[in-house]
Amino acid sequence: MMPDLLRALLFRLGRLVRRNRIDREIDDELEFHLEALIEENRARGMTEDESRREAARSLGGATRTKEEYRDGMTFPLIESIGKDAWYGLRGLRRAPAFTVTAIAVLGLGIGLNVGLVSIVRALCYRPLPLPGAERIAGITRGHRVLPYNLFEALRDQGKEHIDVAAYDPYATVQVGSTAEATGGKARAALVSENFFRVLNARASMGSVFQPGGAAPAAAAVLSQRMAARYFGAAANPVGGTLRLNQQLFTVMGVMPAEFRGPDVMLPDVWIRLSDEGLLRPGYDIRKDAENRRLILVGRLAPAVTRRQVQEELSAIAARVPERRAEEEGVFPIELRPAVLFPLNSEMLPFLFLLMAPTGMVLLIACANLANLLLARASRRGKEMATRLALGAGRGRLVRQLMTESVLLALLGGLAGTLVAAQLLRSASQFLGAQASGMGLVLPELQLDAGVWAFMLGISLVAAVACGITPALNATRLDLAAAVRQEGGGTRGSRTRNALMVAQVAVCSVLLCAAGLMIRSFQQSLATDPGFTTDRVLAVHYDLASAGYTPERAAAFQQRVGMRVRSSRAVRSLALASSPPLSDRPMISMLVSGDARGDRRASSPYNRVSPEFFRLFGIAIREGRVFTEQEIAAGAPVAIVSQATARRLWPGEPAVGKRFRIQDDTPQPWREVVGVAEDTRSVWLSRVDENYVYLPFEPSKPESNALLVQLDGDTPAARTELTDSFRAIDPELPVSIESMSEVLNRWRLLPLAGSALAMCLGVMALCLAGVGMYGVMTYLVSQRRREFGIRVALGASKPVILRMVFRQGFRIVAVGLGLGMLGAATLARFLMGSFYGLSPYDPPAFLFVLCFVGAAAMASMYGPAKRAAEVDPAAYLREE
Amino acid sequence: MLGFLQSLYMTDIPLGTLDVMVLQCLHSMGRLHGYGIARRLEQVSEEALKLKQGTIYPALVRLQEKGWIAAEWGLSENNRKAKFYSITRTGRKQLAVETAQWNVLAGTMARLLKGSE
Repeated sequence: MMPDLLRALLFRLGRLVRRNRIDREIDDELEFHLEALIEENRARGMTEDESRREAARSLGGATRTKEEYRDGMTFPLIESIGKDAWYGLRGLRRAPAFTVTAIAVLGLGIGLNVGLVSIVRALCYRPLPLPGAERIAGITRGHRVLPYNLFEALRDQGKEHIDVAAYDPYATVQVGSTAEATGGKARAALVSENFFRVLNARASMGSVFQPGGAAPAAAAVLSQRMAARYFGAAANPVGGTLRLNQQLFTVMGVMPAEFRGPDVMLPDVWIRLSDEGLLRPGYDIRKDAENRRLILVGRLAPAVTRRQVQEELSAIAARVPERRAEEEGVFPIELRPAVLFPLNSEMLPFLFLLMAPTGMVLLIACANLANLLLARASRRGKEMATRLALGAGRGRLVRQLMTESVLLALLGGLAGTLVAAQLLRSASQFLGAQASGMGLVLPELQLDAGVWAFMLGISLVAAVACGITPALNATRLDLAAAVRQEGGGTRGSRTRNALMVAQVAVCSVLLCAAGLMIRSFQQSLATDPGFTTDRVLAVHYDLASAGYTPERAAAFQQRVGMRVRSSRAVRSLALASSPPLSDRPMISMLVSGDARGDRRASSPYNRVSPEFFRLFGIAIREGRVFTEQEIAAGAPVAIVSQATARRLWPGEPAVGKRFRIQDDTPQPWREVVGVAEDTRSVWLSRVDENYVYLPFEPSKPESNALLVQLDGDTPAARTELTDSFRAIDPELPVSIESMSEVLNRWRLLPLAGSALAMCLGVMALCLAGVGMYGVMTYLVSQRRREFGIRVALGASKPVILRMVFRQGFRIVAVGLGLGMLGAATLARFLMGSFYGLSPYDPPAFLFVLCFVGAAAMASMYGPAKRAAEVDPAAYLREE
Repeated sequence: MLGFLQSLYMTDIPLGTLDVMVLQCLHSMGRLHGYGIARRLEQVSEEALKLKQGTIYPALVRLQEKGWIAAEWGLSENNRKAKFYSITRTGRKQLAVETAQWNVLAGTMARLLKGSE
């Protein structure tokens, strides 16, 4: 059986491909037959005409014979599908408005979704481009960043199951000049010795760290870029030396350009954790073993399952003490697939915020397509009925309508691909530029074939689902009624109304989100951070990376201070470990208690000089600011914010109270000398619940900021500032940022969010408007006869208009109501993303109400006007 | 396909009969073009079949598909381009099988019909 079928298939396929030749051959053969018959007839003595006629008769009808012959030769079904498609295309071309709308609608829906999902998949799901990446796992325990003691325990006790490596990608080092390049900053990753073994990565030149290897101390592995920059692109730097933070390191190897490591952070240089003391004199991670700063990654041993490893590691981790007592044993060890950007619970809401609206747009697109098809099918009721009456098969008509839907879906998919490709190109450029500014390396973003196929599948299913109901409805008509262009039935219109309500609801949700975002942006613009930002600049510098000793650091900052203060452009000057709204370092405190004993607390903090408060206009409500003597002596004093004072010592004066910072080294009791006004120094969106100011320590060579208030923020003033630093240390990198730039950074997210939500919302509204227009047109055409009679009986235009609007508004009102309810529910969950707004923010909701109402009105006006202008005489003539 | 079936019924030839006739024709006559086959069938049936000559073409396609006959282009007696058909080895085997079946059927029918007289 099978070979027979196969042979038949091949036989026909061969002919399908060579169709034109087949046609010619059939013609030739039949013509030969005809000629032979004619000749024979002529030989029998017939006239020319007679012999032709007789020949044609005995051969059978020429066209029919040919058709039958060809049917046997090829696939009649495929050809008729081809014909349907062709017919469908022609039909679509005849209704360009419908076609363009449907394709645009689907294209946007599919494109946005494919693009976004492709990006998420590329960043968060695609395995790392490393050999054997499927055996590599990220190891977390509640947090992604874990302490050294846990790493040590897992590495030593779990080595039969998994080879655990650790790294800290966030270090920066000061690089000395070489023959090729002047010095600058570089990103360093501090890694365990087995780091490269776990990743199975080799150097393109030289070698990488090996556990237990005989490599000398102070060895570094460079990235290709770093090697090219400091040693020249052609040179082999292996064995050469490079000064990092005043210490000479020997270059041990160079990683190939395509090596990315396990993180989006691409370091310039890899240094062993055991060499960290050379970069930060006196530091030893083994003595800082409880500090969370390492990211763990492991390679599973052959023949063990993830589950086994997870259980084994959990058992080991349970024996490692946690510094924070309240967290002990709460978080299990988890193994995660090694991807570039692991999704964690903090990112999920953000992702949801991003994906939900785009998903909604696709939803609207599908609903809209369904509506468009429904409306179109009902308009074509007459055509269908006529064709049925003329004897067309129902199956054939349904097939044709379906072909049309599928064609639309395919064209929409094509448009979607273009949209997605463009989106990915723009996103690649934008994110790439953003990322490289932050020292991250993103993989190339490509259209994800799987996602694309999925979305196209969805649109096909949508098209078929949307297409089948109208197709069946259209062909199940009461013929007589439909030829008169009536009928339609309530079932179809109920589906249509439900779809319309859903569309209005979804776009109301989107617009509410947009409204809330815009409002929160507005709020963020209006938000007073609680300190002046006017003409205040921050100069950032990092003395620790530049290899400063405490004595040199103190001297340097004193000299810079004097120099800057002497400038005429400078009004006042302060020093701090960071400007407000930048970093968020925390301290743990032990608060000296009353009868209840000492209490623990934690708070964000900043180390500031006395002028800080005056410069920023932060009032001191009780007590006083630090004195110069306290700064110089490093006296154990502190200033707390009002909120902190209320929380820690409710109902009591805070001045004179004591607390102790909990650190690795024993700390003295600190006395609170002042209470400062509350500000928004940690989050712009809310007043700080806690904030502690400690005296600035000039002798701590950490990264610090010099804050100045200028007479005017001019380029000249900025140059003068940089020059003041250059004059004392020409090699120290400094960066200047104004406080308004800092504030703008905070406003960027709500701005971007509101722009995105607004775009999607307006798009959704346009889609819904088009849908509304279609539905109203249909409804009006259904009631044409009624309107005609009413007008004939004396109804005025406004009466008819009101009737149409009432019908439309019922749909809009239900949709709007549902949408706003949904939006309010959602907003309650996502409140964290908005700036101090109530989830029921009236202006935002009012805005949506008006916006959607106006849009609905606009899309209803055309059809309503047409209804009101029904000329009864014309209607009667149509009958 | 449907059209072809209908055309078969209209000529009152039982389904499958035409195939056997064409095979037998090619078996006894050797290489023939479509016209020749049609002519030959007409002669043998003494014009009793009244089949439209065009109907043999779908049959020819079907037989080619099954691999029972082969086709090639060649020149006719009066030097014109024509498509020639010939029976293949599997075609001969099939013909033997079908001939046997027909003989059994014809014998049965003959006995049956004689009995009813």
